Amino acid sequence: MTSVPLSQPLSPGALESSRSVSRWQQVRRRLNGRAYIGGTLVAIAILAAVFAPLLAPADPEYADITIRLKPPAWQSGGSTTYLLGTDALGRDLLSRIIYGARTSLMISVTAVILAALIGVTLGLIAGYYGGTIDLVVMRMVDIMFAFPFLLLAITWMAIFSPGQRNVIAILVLTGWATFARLTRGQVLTMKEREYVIAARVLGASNDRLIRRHVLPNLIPTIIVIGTMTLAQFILAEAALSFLGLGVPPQTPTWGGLVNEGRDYITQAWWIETFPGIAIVLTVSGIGLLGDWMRDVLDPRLRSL
Amino acid sequence: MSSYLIKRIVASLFAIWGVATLTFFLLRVTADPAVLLVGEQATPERIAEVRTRLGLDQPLLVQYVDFLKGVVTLDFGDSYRFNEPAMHMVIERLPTSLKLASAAFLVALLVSIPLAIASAVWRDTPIDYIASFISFVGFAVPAFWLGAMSILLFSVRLGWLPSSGTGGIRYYILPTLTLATWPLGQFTRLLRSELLNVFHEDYIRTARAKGLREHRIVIGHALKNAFLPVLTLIGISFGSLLGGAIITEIIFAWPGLGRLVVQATLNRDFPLIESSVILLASGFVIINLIVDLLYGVLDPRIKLS
Repeated sequence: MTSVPLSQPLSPGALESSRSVSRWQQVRRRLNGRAYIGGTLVAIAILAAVFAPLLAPADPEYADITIRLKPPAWQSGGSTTYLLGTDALGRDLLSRIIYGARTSLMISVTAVILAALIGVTLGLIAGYYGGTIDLVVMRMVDIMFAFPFLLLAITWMAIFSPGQRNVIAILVLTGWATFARLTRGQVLTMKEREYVIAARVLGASNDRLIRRHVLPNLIPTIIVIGTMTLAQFILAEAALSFLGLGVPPQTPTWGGLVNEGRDYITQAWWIETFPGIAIVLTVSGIGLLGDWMRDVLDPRLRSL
Repeated sequence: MSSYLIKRIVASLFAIWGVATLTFFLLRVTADPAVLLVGEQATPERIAEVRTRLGLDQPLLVQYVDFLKGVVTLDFGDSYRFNEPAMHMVIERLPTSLKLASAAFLVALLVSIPLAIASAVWRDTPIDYIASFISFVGFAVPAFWLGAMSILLFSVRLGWLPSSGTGGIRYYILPTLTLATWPLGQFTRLLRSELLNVFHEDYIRTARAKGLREHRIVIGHALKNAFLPVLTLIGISFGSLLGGAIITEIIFAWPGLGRLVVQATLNRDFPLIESSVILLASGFVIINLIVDLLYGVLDPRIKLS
């Protein structure tokens, strides 16, 4: 028999590289239909957001009342200048949807990053140090979970004037708790793992323990939760704008466009239909991508 | 058990206090409801008079203590705009909202349980794909758009169903389905994946080896065990259902709490806002407490301590 004796020590470098290669291969091997479709949808939304001025056929805020409520190009009375038709003020709907991607993604991505930073930091501290600080943080999490989101959002937006910054604020305020709770849970189990105990016995400081041993192992969870939260935030931002409590109506947002379309439902079905499709496709894309990342990175989160 | 119960109740009360306090301070740092009530053109004397009548000229701490008394007695005074006891107004509208929410909840449960079982038993068949599709619609389609589209199709185009108001059962169909889509998708997805996990357990193999009929294995053994996580989700989704109900009520002009809350907020009608927030948050906290306690009853392995 020529098998390698089990006791033969592997050099740390060899172990490292073999593991990282296999993980990368694992990710590539698991690229599947869901990943491709999700990735494509998300890429389209990001491209629309970033290159809105280049892609939009018209100025999204230019109104011309003489061409109001023009139907999409393929319907009688439509023209190819206004592919998806025009709204009640004669603005090009396609351009408004493309610019809407910008508003929607900018708000949701910023909010997810801030919520993750705050939530993960508090969850780390609470889980790692325990005691009073843990109690305080977890009670705050309980309060946030008990506060019906839409009620808090409506109250908040009525108090502070509607606008992008306040939409971000309300999303962060409600979103950090999920990150904090999951991070804390993971840190609690991680604290008992051999490698953390070993590092502590070797005299690593708390700071170093968190930075080198705890945080890196949290990253897959954070990415997965962040993706799912991003989908939720896009829907929440749209809901707020739909209620007229989000971004002021002259800035195009998907939810705001659907709301505008409500008044013209009998005459102009396209105004509320197309922005909604943009929301559904983007959220679907993020969802598919999130599902796939969860299976690859952290299958334990499947029940979420 | 009893010490666990006390701990959970104390934590629940604390959460309600936190929501109440947050609401109070959020409302008090804002623009003055007195100005909104008497209009921008009113004289400063008139505004001051209204402030005094509403008790808004008191020091913040005095107002807070009064407010906490209100939380305990569930009485926040009269609505600024309607001059009626605010809590009374909220409770009056509550049944209309609850009817819609329970109808949606019932639809979600009645459809999701058989659907999840079918898709777990006949995995990767058309029924499984239909179930995945429904879960996905629940995840990715915003309720307000689904409601708007269903009005466009079934009320405007086909003229089959009314688009707004209340009345007979026909008025329930569109709002109920709109509101049910989200929990329906969530329940189906979770129950399906729990069932698939449970199918690998030893006791299912034992049941099979005993020669039990397949439907007894699935219903009697697998479903019982797979349902526990769904129970937690049901408790949590209650809060989201309330939020969804607000939007659904606005789309379909359903005369429930939703519209009252939005109007109250825009009018800065403090007593009305406070009454609805406290009532809804307490409902949410109590339902989750019950779910936690049920857990111990349904699954004796979990010791409540």
